[in-house]
Amino acid sequence: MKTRIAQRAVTALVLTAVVSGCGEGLTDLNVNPNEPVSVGAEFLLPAAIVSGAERLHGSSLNMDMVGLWVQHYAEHRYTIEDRFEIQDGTVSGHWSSIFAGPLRNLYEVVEKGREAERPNEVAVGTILESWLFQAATDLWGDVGYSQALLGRESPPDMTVVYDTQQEIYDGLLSELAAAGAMIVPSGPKITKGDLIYGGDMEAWRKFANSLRLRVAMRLSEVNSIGASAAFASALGAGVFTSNADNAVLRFVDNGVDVHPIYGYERNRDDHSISATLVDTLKSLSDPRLPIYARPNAFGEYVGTKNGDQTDPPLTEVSRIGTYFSSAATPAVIMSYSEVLFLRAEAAERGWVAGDAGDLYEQAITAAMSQIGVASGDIEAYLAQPSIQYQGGPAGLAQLGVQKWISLFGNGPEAYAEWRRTGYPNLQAGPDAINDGLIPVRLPYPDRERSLNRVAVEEAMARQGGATINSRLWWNVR
Amino acid sequence: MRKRKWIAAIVMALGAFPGCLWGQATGTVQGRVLDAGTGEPLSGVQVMVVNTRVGALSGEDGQYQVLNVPAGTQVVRVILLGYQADDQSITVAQGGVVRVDFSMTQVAVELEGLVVTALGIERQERTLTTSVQQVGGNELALVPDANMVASLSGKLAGVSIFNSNTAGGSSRIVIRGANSLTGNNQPLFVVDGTPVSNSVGTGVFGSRGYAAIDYGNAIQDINPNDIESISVLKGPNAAALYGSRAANGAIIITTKSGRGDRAVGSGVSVTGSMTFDDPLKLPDYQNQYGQGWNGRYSYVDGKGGGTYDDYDESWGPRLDIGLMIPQFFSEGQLAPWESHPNNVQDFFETGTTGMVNASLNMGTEAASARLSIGRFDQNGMLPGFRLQRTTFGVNASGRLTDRLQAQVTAQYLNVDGANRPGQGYSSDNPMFGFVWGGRQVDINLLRGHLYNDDGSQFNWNNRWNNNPYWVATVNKNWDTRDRVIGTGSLTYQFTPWLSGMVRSGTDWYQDNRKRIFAAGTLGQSGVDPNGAFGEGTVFRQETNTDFLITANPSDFGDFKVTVNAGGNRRDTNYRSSDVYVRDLVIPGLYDLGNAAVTPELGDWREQQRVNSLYAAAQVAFRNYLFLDVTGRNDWSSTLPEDNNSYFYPSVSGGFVFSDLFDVPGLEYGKLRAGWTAVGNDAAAFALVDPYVASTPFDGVPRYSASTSLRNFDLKPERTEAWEVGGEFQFLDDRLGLDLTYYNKGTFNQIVPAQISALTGFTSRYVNAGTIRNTGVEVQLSATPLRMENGFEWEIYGNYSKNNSKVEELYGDLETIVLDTYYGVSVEARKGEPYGQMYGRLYARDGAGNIIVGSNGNPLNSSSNPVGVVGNYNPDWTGGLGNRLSYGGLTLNVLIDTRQGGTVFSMTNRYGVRSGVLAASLVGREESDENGVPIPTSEGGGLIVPGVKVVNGDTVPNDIRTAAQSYHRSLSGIAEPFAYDATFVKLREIRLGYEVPRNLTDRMRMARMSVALTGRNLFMWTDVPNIDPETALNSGNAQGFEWGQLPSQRSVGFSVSITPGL
Repeated sequence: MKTRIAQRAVTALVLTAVVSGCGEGLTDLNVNPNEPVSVGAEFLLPAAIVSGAERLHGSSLNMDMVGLWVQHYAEHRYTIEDRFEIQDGTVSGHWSSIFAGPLRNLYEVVEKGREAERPNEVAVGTILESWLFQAATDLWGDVGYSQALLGRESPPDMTVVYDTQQEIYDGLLSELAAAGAMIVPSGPKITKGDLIYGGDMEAWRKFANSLRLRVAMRLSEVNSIGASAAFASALGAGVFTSNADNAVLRFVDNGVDVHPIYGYERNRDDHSISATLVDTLKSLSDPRLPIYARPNAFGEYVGTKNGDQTDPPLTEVSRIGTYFSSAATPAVIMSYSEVLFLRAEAAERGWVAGDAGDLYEQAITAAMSQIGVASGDIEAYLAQPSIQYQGGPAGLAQLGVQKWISLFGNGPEAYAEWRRTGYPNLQAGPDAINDGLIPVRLPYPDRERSLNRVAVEEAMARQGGATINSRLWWNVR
Repeated sequence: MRKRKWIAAIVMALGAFPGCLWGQATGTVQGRVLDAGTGEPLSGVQVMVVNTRVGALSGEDGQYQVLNVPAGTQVVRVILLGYQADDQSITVAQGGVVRVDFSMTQVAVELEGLVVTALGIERQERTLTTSVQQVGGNELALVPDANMVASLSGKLAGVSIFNSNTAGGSSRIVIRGANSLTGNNQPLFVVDGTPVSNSVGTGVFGSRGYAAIDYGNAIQDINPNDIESISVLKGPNAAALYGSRAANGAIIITTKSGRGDRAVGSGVSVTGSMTFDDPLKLPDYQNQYGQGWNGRYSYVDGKGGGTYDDYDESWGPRLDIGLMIPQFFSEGQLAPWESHPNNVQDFFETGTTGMVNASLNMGTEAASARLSIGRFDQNGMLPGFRLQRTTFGVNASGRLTDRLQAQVTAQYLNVDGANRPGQGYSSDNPMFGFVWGGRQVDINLLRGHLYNDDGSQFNWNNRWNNNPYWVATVNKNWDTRDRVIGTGSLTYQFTPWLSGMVRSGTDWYQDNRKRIFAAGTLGQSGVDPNGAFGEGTVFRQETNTDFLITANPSDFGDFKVTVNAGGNRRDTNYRSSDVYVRDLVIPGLYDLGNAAVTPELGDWREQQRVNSLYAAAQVAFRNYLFLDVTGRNDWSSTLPEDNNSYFYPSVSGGFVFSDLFDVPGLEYGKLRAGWTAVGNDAAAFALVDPYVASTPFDGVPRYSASTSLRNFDLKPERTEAWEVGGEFQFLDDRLGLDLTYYNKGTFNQIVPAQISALTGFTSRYVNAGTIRNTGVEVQLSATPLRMENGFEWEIYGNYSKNNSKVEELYGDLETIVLDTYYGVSVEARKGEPYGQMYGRLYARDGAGNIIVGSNGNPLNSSSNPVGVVGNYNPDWTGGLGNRLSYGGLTLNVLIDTRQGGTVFSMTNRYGVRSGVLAASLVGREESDENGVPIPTSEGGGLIVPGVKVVNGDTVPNDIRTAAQSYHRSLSGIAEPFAYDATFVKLREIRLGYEVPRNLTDRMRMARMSVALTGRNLFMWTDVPNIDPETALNSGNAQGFEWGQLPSQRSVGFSVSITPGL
């Protein structure tokens, strides 16, 4: 009898102890002690700026893909992208690293700014979003825009409809206009986390308007009336007026925050300068040649023919110049010279008043002084008959070539402008596949086609299949 | 009274029972059963009248009574676990009562008879209602292997083992196919009742560009010599009581106790073994062309200063035709351009593996203990590689009072590794310079000559590759794991039929790791000029505390009921921290104070708790019909509060039909069937979206939204499975067969489903997806020969086949990509088997001919079709063991095979591309006097069999292409390098000799045995250049080979001595 009682008591005790603790208090153990569940916009903004600039100006999309296609750089030994073999994994990486990275972080900067009623933060977030959305639509055509980035907010079916490129461009123009207008220079703002302007809101306003010039000019062939109006309006609202206004992320020579091309070359040295670029610079006696390129082992400047599997030894070719492959090489998101080129073209097209030739020379001057060319050399360069602005269609060609030269280091923008203007006249390399055609867009990643099938298929159908040879909406040249 | 009612209900639920019927002419048999040694009455003895359906159990006084025994001559049989069964012949008259008494002799319980099941409950094999396979420790340690998991290869039905080829590397083990789309698919390991970690660490330094190191799966720490037995609970059915993690099955390890060697009493035993390891298979290299490009090569600085001297490929001039070319060692002078066919083989050294184990057993009537010390020393085939393991084990139990029994087991394990190789596609993998490379390189010039006079690295190439000895011995790494696995339990016997146990066990380990990269290392991102290093610590602890009440009431007549009820609390704690320094002030000093840049830091903490209550009951009817019912409820910390409790039941039955029906030739036959469900929880922190820090940019802190969306609505996962099977013994027990069919599905899986990046995120935790696995398992044992002179030949075989199908994914989602390497993705695609591999195929015309492009090479653009290149899961696996014994001699031979499955080989792909493999000789058979292959214009190169497209039509190809161009072009296509991974291996062979008693007596030894052993001695496979049994890691993306280290062939000997005391 005694044991019975003892046994019952023990059993009851143990059972009570366990059952009472079974479901209670467990949730507290699942609180993540490693990562915050909420952070301020001042920490999201620098993350977005660095990842966005690294993507568009770095060693992958820029140097190893579209920078090859516009024949700024050339690939050695593994001449894959240079021959237009496009690997899905690479494209997929660019896709997700733009949308599920800086763009989402910027979306949150904007949302937090709205909630806290801090218009400067809304403006900065919107400007940078527009910068990246334009880059994305210029690579892929139709993409998600109005319904994009809403993963946390939207219902769980997780598909995203696509906007047409035209809708996206309309959106970009109005968003940028609104962003520029909402800036209150004296209002609260992010300073330390603003790696571009350090909280200088006047500079942001100029950037917003300058970016509107870029967006508007892209529509030169498809929408010149609306585009010219938007252009004029942006110009009137105040754009970059000197190189000091440039939107730049300055990488740092501290061993860690270095320019991605420098980081890449520390471990892998298999890119050189394209023969197209070297030969162009040579033919124009351009003082930028020794800045863009290093001499080969024999002291000469020799470019590499793109997409040519003959693959000369590296001793015989020019590698990327020190200025563009140093630890602290800046990523120039948008420059004063680009603004001047845009204004020159707008003047040439009669969109706005102005002397196209004068703006053209100012643009070249700004581009050269930006990278440290001596003023005497600039003057000598501009004095050459071959450089003299000719106006008309020949002038547009000159603008196209000069802009292509000046955009070295910004492959995506150079690629977009080459497709828009057709300048310079580029030919595919001898071993290129794709029937000798340089791709005019990136394919949608396989993963996106699987995960968001209905939306992508619809977008592909309305874009003529969206192969790498299907032109974008604005690309009608 | 109540009890009787529910037992009756169960009987009715089981259906009308043949045993309940009786004939008309019957009598009664009664008597008493006593222990022959003590004369005490024996209760619970199964008394049966052979070839009838009647029987009984003896009561506490040893008395039994069997009614309704058919009249005539009958055999009465008594059976009790631990006693010799006994038969007596009697004659029963109608209406008569026959008295038959038995005295049963105690016998040592054979291991085979008792099987360890979930929660460590030992059960007699015949009472099992699920599929459990047990491997004895002696069988396991037969042929020494460092990795306990690897030594299970070929021995188990339904168990797939993928061994990495790296010494000290991990083995992946999967039972009955993958359940989980993206989660862990490996079984739970339990040592002496305590679940232990098998988590593999590939490093603590995050993804910093260089190759991960395979630090091995943690279960291999266990000293194989301490293992008494391993029970493999194959499906959720057998393992349901272990809860969530056992949905993948469970592997229950019982360590040796002092009781084990009862025959010896107290004693010491020492075993030692030594094996010598060399590569089982090396790639087949070409030795006709050296380094270079288009037949040209000349060395100046190895980084592009000469003619293609930076190219680490072998498309250079022909070797051994008298050419003189400046080379890396010749200081600018011309040197003979000669082949060195053994330059890879000579890199490897003869590895040695030594194991010594000493154990001490002590036993009194009240207590017993075993102490053991083990030491394992491996010096690998790979220069510089070393692995040491020291283990201490204690297993003690004692009777504290009449009713209270205590047991303590503890293992301390120390693992020390040095210079483990980097994995995968990295110059940190020593094989890198052999997959690429110059075939003319004399490896002997690199050995021991690592530095130039200026302190830079001495090597044949200075752009992409490091001197292989630099990789293996200069860029060092070290790791030390200290680990304690301990369990203590108290069992209190309330009454003879009721006992309670309280047990607590922990598995605790701490891992310290360090890697250095010397100044001058090439091809490593994240390593700056003065060198770099990383170090880190991983700490993990899992503690389980449980109680278990066991009731064996024995007064239900024909019924025997066992009830277990208990609860468990599991706490898991994980911490890791690491630091990485990418540049140093003073080269060669790998200390944080010497950092030239801001160190990158990592830190992680995680904890989880699961509380559980469970109960299990078995009802046995006359020891031939068994019914098991279990139920378990878990409460997990990782699920939302509303959904964190989940219950899962199981029911299974077994029927030893041979007790009832006399099937000619069949001694024993049992059928079993069961159904079960198992729930599972989420990973920690899967409910709330976090933000992820990046290293501050120039001092400015950065946070990003995680690309993975969490989900606060998660529900528990659920696996449901059923299985049927049978066990049969024929021909005087000389042929045994065990068959199982299973069908299991896992639903509501918690997966980070990929989502469109347009959402701003790339994945989201959801409950989605169903995988179904169905399969069969066959185990066979046979004794074809048993001769009077003592010669015996036994065979053990197993066969298993598993089919998996991904039935559902998330929403419209068609695939989940498990991983992508080198253009081949491993996926879980809806409607397809799990583990399907997709990649670019050859472009073909309608008739299946390969289409070549204008350059004469097979088309390899992104427009090539993407298709299935295979599936990494084998079609079937099997093992066949033979044991021949005669006198003191025993020969064991184990052969195992994996049939089907796919391996995508990067050694082949890049070895062909780089021109180092013999396969790359096609098309460059002839060369001119400068050693340059004959150009295509002069009939050199080759014409690829296939078609070309002319004006939209296909015509036979007639375009000549150069070998270099052709072989390099192939790497753009996955199809040519995906192989049927079928292999057959001579896995184990052992010739043992037990020294005869008269000799050991003279040497004052109790026992002595010696053996010659061999492991992985031969392999038969059609896969070129590699061992298809390979694993890049132990994750779910299998089927990839990249620069595998050659697998080890080991031969050696072992000695086991038990001195007389």
